[in-house]
Amino acid sequence: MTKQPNSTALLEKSIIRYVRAMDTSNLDEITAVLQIAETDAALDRIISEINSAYADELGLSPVSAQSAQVRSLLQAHFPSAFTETDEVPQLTVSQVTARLVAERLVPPTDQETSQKLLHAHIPLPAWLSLPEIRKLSQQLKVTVSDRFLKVFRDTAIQMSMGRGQAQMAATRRKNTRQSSQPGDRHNEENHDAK
Amino acid sequence: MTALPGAPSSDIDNQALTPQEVVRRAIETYYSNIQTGVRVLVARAGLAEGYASIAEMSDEVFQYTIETALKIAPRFDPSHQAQSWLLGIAANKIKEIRRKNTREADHIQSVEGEDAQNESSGSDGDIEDYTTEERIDAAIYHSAHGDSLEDSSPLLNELLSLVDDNDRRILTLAYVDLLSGVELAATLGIREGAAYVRVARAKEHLRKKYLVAIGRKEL
Repeated sequence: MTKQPNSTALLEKSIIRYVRAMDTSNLDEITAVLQIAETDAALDRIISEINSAYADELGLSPVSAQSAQVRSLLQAHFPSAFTETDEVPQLTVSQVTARLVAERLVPPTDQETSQKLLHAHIPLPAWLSLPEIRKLSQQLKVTVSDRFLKVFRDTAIQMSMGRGQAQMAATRRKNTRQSSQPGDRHNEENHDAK
Repeated sequence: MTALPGAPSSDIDNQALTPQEVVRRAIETYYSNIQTGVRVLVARAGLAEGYASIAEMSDEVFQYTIETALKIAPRFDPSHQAQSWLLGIAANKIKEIRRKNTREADHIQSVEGEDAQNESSGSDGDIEDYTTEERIDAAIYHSAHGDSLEDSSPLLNELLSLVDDNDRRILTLAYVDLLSGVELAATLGIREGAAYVRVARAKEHLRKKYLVAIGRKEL
């Protein structure tokens, strides 16, 4: 990628600059990147996408505001529907394979092997690179195609990212509940002091 | 045919339109995008907290943006991207409000300190940041020759070992597998904008860890 066109490198640099400026609330930098975007259609479009992502993240898009309201109502009226656990169990080979089978992503040549993998309740390695996944398949003594390995790796990453977010949300909920306990005088006193 | 910047050419044809007309059409086309952008900027600038307050403040900034844009439209270059131009007007207004709020809060001294910090980060700090970034870029790009990590040099693995699993996955997909923003979003099952944000944050984490690491030893 050192040989990438200057425009691509500049685009990437501007994107990183914009996100960094947003995360640090640096309006001078934001304005500077917007000025670059005025003459760069690709950057202009990507900034719009990034703004939408921030709106989702900050709960500012209409959909995220509505879903937050629904979630809070559900938590208030159906607390039993929400689990208390902070720890999300580790992802296993069988779970990823089940997703691949359900979404019909298993290549025809790997159909038989995938049926075996559905019973492999073995945790996935922490680093989901292709070599690690290949190593895992060797440990399991199964032969699968490169295409299967790649789609397995991609799906595993997707599922583990979702779990990471679920775990963070669970921790946030727990912290919020703890800080709003009626007996928590410390918080109330702090609040009164303000 | 010259299309409105950033808009699909089939949707809008701004050939022979005056700058004012281009701006007016851009406002209509990007209304929702600009509104979202203004809300995000208001929230990130810390001008308001909570959905209702942010929405209220954003509406004020949005209205100012539109009024100002229409007023200065004759100065707009129709070959430029109107969406970023409009967001730039909003960002400047937000800066102005933030400065005013800070003055009213009698924190002039701290603002000067912050400004001085920003100015200094725009000089020496930036040089250091960009040098580090270029070193990281060079290390990543030089190392990422093959389709898998098996083919890459130890330097890349050493760099990636500095960050946590999530960042490592993102950076591997972006710089080793060379996935584009759209492909990355599809792989992770997230929106394109969120993919760019994750890559940028992962790279920022790597940059900070790298700075700490080179403080201890040369990678």
